[in-house]
Amino acid sequence: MSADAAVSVSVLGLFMPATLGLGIAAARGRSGRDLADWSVGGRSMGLVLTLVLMAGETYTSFSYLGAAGWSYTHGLSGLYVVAYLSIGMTVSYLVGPVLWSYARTHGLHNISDIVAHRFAAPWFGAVIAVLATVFVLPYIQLQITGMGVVVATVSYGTIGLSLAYLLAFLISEVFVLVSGLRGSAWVSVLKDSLVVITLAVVFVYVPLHHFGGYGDLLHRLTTERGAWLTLPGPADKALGLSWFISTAVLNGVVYTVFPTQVAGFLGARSAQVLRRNAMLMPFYQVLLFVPVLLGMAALFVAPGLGDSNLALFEMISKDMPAWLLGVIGAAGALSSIVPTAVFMLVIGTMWGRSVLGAHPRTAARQRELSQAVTLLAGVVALVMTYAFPTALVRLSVLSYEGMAQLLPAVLIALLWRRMSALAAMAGIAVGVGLVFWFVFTDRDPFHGVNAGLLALAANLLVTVALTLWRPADTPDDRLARPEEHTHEEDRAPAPSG
Amino acid sequence: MSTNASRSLFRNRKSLWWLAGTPLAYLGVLPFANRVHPTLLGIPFLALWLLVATLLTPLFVWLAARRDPVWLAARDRGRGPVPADGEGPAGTAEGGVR
Repeated sequence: MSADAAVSVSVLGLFMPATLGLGIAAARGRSGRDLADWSVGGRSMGLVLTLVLMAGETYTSFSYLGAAGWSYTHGLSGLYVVAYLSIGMTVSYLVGPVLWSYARTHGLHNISDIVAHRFAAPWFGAVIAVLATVFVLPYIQLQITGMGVVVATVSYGTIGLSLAYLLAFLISEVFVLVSGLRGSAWVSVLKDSLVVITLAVVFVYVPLHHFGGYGDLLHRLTTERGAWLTLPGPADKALGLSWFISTAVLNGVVYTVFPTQVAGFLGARSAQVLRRNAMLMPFYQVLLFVPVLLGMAALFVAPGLGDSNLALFEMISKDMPAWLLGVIGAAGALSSIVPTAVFMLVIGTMWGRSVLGAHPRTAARQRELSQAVTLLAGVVALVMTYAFPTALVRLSVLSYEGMAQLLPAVLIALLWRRMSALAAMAGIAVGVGLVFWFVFTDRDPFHGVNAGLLALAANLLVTVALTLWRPADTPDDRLARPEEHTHEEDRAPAPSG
Repeated sequence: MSTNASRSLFRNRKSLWWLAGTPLAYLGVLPFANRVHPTLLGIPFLALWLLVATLLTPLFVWLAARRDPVWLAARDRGRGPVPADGEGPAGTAEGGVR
């Protein structure tokens, strides 16, 4: 091991036990044995923890690797991520409190038991849990892979990919099993501090070191790489205006029912925390401009990269002091570990509540079952990472578009008394079927439009038609309560469990 | 209690129209913003516009909230003599101790 590698690995080695310690310590003084204490942080998180958790969840290792890699290849169209996150956060002002209030009133933990309760149909909750797992699992593998790449790079290759994968799995499993959502929120505090600091450093360092400063970098970009600075970009003509707009709309709406975001909503101590959160979170997106810009800077510094995901790290790993590279590596690693933990937790929660724990005989053991599945989900993703590195990544393409198809059942159903389980399920079947067909026959985007949006339109059409044909009459207590303008809103009883 | 939850979600909350500002800023304006020039401080126009939209987003949510009766009711409750449900002054809401 070279001297540089020894330094950066040591720095990395300092942060990983700190992460574990912080994550485990988050559970101290909270001896509750309820599932809710673990799965949604006891529904007690204030503004700062909620903000750090939810905004931080959106800032994954994708932001270090994928965003820079995307702009390296496709240019500014990578900013569709910023557009959809901002739209989603805006929508969450309205949707977050609806889901929070519904879940708190009825003691619910995520989208699967929300659906099961709304339709008084445990089988429907199980269907949602299984589908959501299929759509979330690929993200766990993406994060584990991302951590592997980051750690291997900053250790100058002395820590191999396989070992890095294992570390990502072990660290996130241990603290999420002990401390649940609250542990993830506390580790997010460390992670987000590191991310903000290291991105600021990189933001200043790269243009000064490799160019004459920002003036020179921007001048070279506008004169030599103009094709990167508009849509559709240089590489793929399908990534044009209609693709950008339809993807931002679809993902922006799906954002509020994505299980990891829902876990964040439900963990808040009041609806007002979520409204404040919606106001503050968008500021966080400014950070995403840094990797997008620097990904394009890499066009000049490291042209012709085989793996564009290394664009950012190629630029910084050559000349940067080893200790600083270690800190950046820690930020990148934590950006994998935190989302991985929350992804595993929501899969575990949904299975514990809606599949394994749905039967009266197992209902008393929902927390243990949830934790067991949390472990299992991580093991499956880890084994897949080793054995079939590309299989799940292929699936991840349809994750957001597939999750979108759950929107009518999870959210619209709470507001529409007449929607029946049959109508919602038929809509999901049509929508998910279409997404698979579009994606696996290489028809996404379809004539320049996000295929998930088209599938959602078909899904809604089926749901509305069947609802009008055979309307249900849902009792009041299974619908979202109206938002109170007076003073009762945040005082819904919080049942245990 | 209203029998139509979706209607009552929006009832008397006209200021929520401000929330439409976010998609309009990002997407409605996009066809006109999809260009390299003019630049400001060297920043190409599309990137500049998306940055402006990102900074406008919190403003739209704030504009929606400041006249939203639901927001106002919850805020007043937080300022009241008995903080409802942990809703104290914003600074105390760290969630670490309770």
